Amino acid sequence: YTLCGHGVMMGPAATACASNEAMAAALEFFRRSVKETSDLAMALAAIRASIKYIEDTKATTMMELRDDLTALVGLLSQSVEFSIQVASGCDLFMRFVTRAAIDVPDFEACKKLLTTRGNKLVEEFRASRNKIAKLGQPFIRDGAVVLTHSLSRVVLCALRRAAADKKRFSVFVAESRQDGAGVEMAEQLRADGIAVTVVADSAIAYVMEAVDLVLVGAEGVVENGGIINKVGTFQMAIVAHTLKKPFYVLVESFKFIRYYPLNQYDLPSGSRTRRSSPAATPSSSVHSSTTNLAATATATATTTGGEHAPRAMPQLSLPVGLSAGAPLEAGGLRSGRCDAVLRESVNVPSVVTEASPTGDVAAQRKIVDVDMIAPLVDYTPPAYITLLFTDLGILTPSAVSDELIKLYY
Amino acid sequence: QRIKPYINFIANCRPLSVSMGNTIKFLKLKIAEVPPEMAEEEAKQQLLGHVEAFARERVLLADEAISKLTLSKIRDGDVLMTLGSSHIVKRTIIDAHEQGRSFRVIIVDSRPRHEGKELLRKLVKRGVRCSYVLLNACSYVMKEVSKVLLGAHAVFANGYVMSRVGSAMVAMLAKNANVPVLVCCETYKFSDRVQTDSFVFNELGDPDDLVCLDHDIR
Repeated sequence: YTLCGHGVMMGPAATACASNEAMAAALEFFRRSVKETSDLAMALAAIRASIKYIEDTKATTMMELRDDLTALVGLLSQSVEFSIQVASGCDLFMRFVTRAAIDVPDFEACKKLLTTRGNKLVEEFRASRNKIAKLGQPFIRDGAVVLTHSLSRVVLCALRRAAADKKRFSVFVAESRQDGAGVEMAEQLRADGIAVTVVADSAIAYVMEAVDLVLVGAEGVVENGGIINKVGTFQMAIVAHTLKKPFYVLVESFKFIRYYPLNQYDLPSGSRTRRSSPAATPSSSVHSSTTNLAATATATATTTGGEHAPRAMPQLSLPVGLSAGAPLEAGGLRSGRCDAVLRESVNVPSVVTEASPTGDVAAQRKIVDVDMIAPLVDYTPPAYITLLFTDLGILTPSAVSDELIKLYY
Repeated sequence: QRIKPYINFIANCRPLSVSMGNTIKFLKLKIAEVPPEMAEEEAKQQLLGHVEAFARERVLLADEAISKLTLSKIRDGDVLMTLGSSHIVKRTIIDAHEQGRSFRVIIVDSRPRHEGKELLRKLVKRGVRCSYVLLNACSYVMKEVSKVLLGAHAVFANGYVMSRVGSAMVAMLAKNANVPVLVCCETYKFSDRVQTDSFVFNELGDPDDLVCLDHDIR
């Protein structure tokens, strides 16, 4: 639980542990796994790294091994942006480690058991994506219009499977700034011959009437059945709820976390706002990809009719800044809630560049020193979610806490 | 049957509450579990052990665990609201304050008992920043509040919470203002009863405390 509560505070201990060879090797293995196999969920890479550590470790007792593993998970969490997955996946693995330690007292035998069963666990988790895709098939009917958000590998898997079954359907993908992951999703879908259109984030309400169902993935599922996902998911859920469209979440069970957010600003550490680095590639790739898609979108057959292709997106260089606002006082009669948003931000001056609406790059206006917050994730409360498709079955949000208890006990 | 007069005595001191009922049920169960062939002295020791374990784990340790859990939800800059005086809420606030969290507390109080005054006194002594309002000002201050912490008398099988009178009002006002309401309750207060209103089972105080018509008001 401590992994998901306040994160593992690992500063000085981490450096001490990193000097441990086996741990450094495991960390390196993790980094490589994440980079090379883009198909592999981060949680699985973390579990694999833990297994590798168990194989290489020079620890001689279970207590030592457990402590080392906890430290390793802390290290891994620190090395990635979204560490909720790492924390939740490893939390499950640690439960398993603890149980195995009780069942098998002999250390060497226990280590062997951990590695074999750990690998089996990873294999089961890998298969979960296909299981979920299969469960979702009856919900994607012929002629359906699907709306999705950002890049989700599970949703991709489900849609690909539907396409392979020769179903006719079309997809709207929200562009999902700031990293334009939605565009990448659209490219992947198009490569499979699926009719796809990119939708500006602000146009989600605009297209919602034409949509039959909304499918999203999740970074994490919290105790009350709500989800943590790329920012913009909550908006999509509210609009879908208002326009009475079903909102389905496709998520693997190892993403269930033992956490209960009270509001948007009460998310587990490791999931909060981070500024996108301006040096990263997304801005250029967004531009080139959108123009390509805008061109092909007009040619794409959609069953909605009357939907015109989105205009070429204005090139927006990554806004960096988040504002800290006035110094926070715990007292005063001012509402603590405004502070909650600002408190989570980081004070960095920002430069926002905007192209003119015609996409003419030459006519760029430069707006300096405008503060902006751009969180990476948001929390969608369970009231807005219709169903969750998991490898444990199709669940209503209220069933999630039952499943969580079963998983962890 | 021997313990019946003792239970009656306790019930006379104070009407049997849900938690008291649960404790007595627990004791009766443990008595029934004693094997008949066990020596009397040994059986007594065993029972005493059970009772002490109950007190230690289900009451004292539970308070500690709940305080720790609730603490993780209290952030710097929070404005907490509480009603009356609940020992577990008091403990949580003091623990959070000692851990260095910066927050302030609004204590909502009501007639005739004014239990909140006692809580106010204790918290101020510890250096916690407190405000004090009566129940009729609750909606006025609600817009500043970030979380409501309530204690509980009992939690029922359908999830309903029975607590000090006025809690329902505070909870409804909080819901209206989108403020999360956190209820701190030990598991020995959980009841398998189901209650959908406050009339069906309650305790009554002295009406004279509220309005005394005996003497001349002029």
